[in-house]
Amino acid sequence: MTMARINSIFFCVLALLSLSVFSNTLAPGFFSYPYPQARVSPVERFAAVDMGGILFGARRLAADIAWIELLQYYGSPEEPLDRETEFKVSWDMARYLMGISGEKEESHKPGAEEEHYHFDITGGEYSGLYTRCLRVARLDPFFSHVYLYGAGALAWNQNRPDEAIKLLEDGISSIEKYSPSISKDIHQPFWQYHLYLSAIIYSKSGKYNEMTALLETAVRQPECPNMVKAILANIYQKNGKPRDALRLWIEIYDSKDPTYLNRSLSKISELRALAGL
Amino acid sequence: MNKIFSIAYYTFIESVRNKVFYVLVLFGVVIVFASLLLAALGGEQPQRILLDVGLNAIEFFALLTVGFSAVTLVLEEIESKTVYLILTRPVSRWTYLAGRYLGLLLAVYCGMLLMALMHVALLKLEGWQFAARYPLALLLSAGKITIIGSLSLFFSLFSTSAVSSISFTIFFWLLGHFGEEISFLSTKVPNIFLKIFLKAVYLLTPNLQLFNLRDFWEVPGIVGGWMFITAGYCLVYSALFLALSVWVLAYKEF
Repeated sequence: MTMARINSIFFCVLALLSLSVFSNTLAPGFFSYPYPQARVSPVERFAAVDMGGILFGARRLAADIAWIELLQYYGSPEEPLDRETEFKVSWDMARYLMGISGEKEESHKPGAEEEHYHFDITGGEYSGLYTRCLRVARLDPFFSHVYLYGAGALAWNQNRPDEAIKLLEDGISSIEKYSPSISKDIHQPFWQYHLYLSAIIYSKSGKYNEMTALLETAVRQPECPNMVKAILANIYQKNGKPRDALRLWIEIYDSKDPTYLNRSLSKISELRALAGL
Repeated sequence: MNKIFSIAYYTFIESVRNKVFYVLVLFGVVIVFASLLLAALGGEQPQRILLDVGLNAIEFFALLTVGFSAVTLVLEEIESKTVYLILTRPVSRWTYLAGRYLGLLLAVYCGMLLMALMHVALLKLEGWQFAARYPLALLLSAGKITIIGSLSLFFSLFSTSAVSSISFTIFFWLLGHFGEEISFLSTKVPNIFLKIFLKAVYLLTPNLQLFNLRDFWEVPGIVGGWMFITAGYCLVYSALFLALSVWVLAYKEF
């Protein structure tokens, strides 16, 4: 190859290099990075995993993994299970994953739930629940389900409304910061956060009727976590409204959420008997 | 132009017949299917998890395929001397390189499309509503792969071993995704030299976050004109690394 030709390639490279630098200078004008800057994870032992997700440009995937980890944390008993119960739980999960969980309409019938085992997730203290929710939210502030699920669990299951309020306030400030136009649509997470916030404040100040009315609005939203539906169903059952509670448990069962599968079956049978159906 | 297409065609056939290509695409398909298991653990968010794992797997396996293939694309031909069969004909070095690069990209895009079809079928089985963002996210992933392919080709001609060029490619992949953090750091560090260094790194490395729609799935107001900007950006950077590769190849003695 002649020297003149090599020189022309060199000038071409220089021109393209200048154009690349120019593109990178212009890029921020067209694109603003929607996520908060990377920082150490609120749960320190997962800091390396979370940073790995950010480095590989996979924040959503890292948030998904953190979400699964949160569900496993909150879905497992804080005290270690005895061997027999652990076997029952593992076998139940394996059967579900293999599609042989006996998830048929007949299993709505009374007595069908006796084959399954479930433990009470409201039993433990789960002191790390707030930081684990925050970990998911730091990775993906647009993962609205985490705020709703976390706030519901903290306020009504764990009776820690202050942490729930802090979590929702964090979600609201994230949305205000990153969403340029917040519409007045109730389905927008922004309004759902406010709805939950109000319900928690009512609950904190002992105004249970107002709280129930807000929860009734919340469960009509498409993003409403099954946990909040379960909370409202339990309130209905306590207030002597088994039919309303049954309707919600059937909704939960129909969502095919594996974490509520056994509990919803058991509740459906119980409430059918209570309502005389 | 015909010469470029002829070289691209035989590179495409060569890549598709390559065992490594098969293994990577098949492994990608397996991972996409395995995401069903993760989705089952995701409680009320199975669709989101299935979507994210699938899109990430498609991009990651496309990165591995383009990285490993680009590294051996020209080096193998130089070592086996088959490059003489082409360059002794009236084919310039840049025509040869452009043809090889385009052929490889075409093969990788086909692999991505195959994985995406499997992924969409799985999502549909889960009751997913098709969103226009899906093909756009896939197109932008292909944009990333286009840039990384040219970068990988450049490193394969520049460095002495395949391992080092793959390491450089992965390093630039990470750097490309960390650009926004580097830019943020450059505004925070008090040391002026470090500030200039960080700013220079930010300005010189391709910002792959621009192509990361799969990660900004729920971020409002991001599509539209953005697609045209990223298309131009992708063209500039891949042309830059291709020109650099031609420049390095011009000095190579066979």
